[in-house]
Amino acid sequence: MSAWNLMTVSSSMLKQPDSRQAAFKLPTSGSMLADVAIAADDVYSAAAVYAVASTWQQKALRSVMFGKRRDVLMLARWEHTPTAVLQAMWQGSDVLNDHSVQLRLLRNANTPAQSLIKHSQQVNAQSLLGLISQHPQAPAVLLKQIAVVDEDTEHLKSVCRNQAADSEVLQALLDRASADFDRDIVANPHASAQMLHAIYRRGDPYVRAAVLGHQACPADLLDVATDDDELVVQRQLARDERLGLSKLQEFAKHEDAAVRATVAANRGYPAEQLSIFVVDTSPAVRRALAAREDLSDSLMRQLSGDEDAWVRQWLGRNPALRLDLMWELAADPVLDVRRAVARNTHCPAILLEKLAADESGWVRAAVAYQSNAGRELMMQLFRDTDIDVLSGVASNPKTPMALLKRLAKHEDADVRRGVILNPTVKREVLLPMLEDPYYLHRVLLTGHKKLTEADKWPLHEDPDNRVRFSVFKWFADRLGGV
Amino acid sequence: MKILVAVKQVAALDEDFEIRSDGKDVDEDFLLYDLNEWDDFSLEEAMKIKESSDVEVEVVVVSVGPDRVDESLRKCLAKGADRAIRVWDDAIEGSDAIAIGKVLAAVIKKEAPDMVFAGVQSSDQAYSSTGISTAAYLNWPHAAVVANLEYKPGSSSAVIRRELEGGMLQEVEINCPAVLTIQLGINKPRYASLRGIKQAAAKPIEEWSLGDVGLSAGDVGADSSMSRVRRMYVPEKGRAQMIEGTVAEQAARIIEIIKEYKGA
Repeated sequence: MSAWNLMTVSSSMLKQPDSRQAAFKLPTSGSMLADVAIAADDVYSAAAVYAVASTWQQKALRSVMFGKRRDVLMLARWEHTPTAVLQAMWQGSDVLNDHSVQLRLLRNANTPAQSLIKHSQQVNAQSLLGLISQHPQAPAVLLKQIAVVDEDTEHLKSVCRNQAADSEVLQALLDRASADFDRDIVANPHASAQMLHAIYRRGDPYVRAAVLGHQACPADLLDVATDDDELVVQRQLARDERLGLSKLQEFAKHEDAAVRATVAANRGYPAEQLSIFVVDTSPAVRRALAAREDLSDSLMRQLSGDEDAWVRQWLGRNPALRLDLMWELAADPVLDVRRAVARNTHCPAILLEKLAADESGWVRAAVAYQSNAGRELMMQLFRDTDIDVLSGVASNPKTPMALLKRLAKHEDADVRRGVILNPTVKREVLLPMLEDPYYLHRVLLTGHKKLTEADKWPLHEDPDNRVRFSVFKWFADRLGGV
Repeated sequence: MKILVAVKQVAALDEDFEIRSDGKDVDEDFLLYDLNEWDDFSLEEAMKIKESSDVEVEVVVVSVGPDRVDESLRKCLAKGADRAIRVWDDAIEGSDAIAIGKVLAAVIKKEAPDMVFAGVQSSDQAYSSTGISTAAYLNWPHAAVVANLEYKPGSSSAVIRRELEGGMLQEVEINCPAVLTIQLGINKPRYASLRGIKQAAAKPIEEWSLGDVGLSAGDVGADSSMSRVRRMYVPEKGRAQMIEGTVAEQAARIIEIIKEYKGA
């Protein structure tokens, strides 16, 4: 008998006498739901309802979930295991004797903060402390403890990079080790302006560039950086919308194309001065320009004839693009340009009709996904044989229900999935899809707002464990406490 | 007309697994079991022949293994196989692919199918030997790595295309009955329908012993195998190089590496 059995209670002692009957009735409370899961004796159903079960029901559910070590290992690793189940796992004394389970629990992002605090006091393996230091739920107080006491450099770097580390934690590391962790601290959004100043002053060009890119970078540091002649710093500086116009104008003529491209994309650079970029020798600069929505008609005209297809592609997607130019690009020899036009949010229906007859399925698919495309266009594209096109038709809100009904039976799973994701799809179209052979579709249907509780409940006996978990979880979330 | 499909339930490794105390295999708690991927394709090939045939075709799946293998056999039944047979005896434990081939050959002699399919290899042990050893024990024609099959049930021959190195295909005419090991990508395996899965749950799986196929404990197991596992272990490997630094530093280093590889 495995050690894990010691923490369980035999479920047969705790089953309700009418649990079998309960399986066929729609559950109306967390308690009823838990009864069904206990009777099912299924690990996944048990995990889904654990949080809403009563105390005695939870004992029975633990027996189902933790009876075998392989199930414990699976639940400890699984990204969908609810926090309450992971917490229950931690409370079992066997966790401390099972290194493999500990590893999995510490890697699981759903492991709650209080379990990490409790475990950090007991853990005896340095590698496990490393996992705590990078855990997204690790509370700041615990991270600060590690920052102050731990000697392992990798652990401390993990703390720096942990988004849960607040500025107090980061300061503790700075106080301890000065410049050693600058690179890692600069990547943390909680680094304060004061920290960034200190790091900037002693940093190499890469560190200085990273400071300038930080969301909390103070404006006065920009002034300091304008005199920096390191290229990597200048590339980052050129990105900042707060940069003064004179510096931007200077950078617009920089010998480095990446600096010029960054300026071209910078919204702080005035629209009336963008013409300098349209004749730039670097395609990267012209591409950045083509994506701007404040282009003049004349600039758009020039870019529409650019030799670089990516420039024309960016222009094709630009919602500010003139209609006449859109028509021109819709006839471009490169299919990615035509597809970009088809995806343009302002592409008119009449142009979409032309693109719907494109020789490339990839272009026609873009039309199929377009919300501007009308009902008649969907009916036309319904006759297409390309799977990408049909997937688009299936997901398009303009597609008539009769066509969705037929697409729901398509042999290709991608097409059927489009129907499930269609915002206008009706319940009667979805109902037969509860028998869809692809498990993911049944999982999606457990959360679908068009289906009723009574529609979804039969999935609680689905042969796929992920579907069973999803439906029990959906009901658990809905029914709440006991 | 009957097609027999030999299938295997394979083990996939969970993360951070542990080696068993005898050092010869992974601790079972860390193994995840499923139907061998190649067998999905060989079963589908049999089902395609069954569904397109004018004559009645029975598809029988066979596997050698303990109780847990029933789950994989039910998957095959759910996809449309007509019967499922599982052969097991504790004495089979430790058998290599050649010994398993002997067991399968014994089943085939009893079932007398018109064609036998197996996967090219299994994803766990990857010996690529079971199908061919089965053919050797039967003294039947055989072909490996079949990427395309033209066969009409009841015919005395089939035309196959075998996948060779460098994208080449070899077209072969083979006399039937034959053993073919089927390659990935020969078709598009179906998902089992929900109805099929539910019906399969109620279908019987025939459990055969060694005696049922005319074999004894002395014919199988580690002592009757041509190879034995000495140990299983994780070799020391060089760690991947982590590219550290700020985003701009990492980008610069990646560019350096790409240039090095391109010889720039």
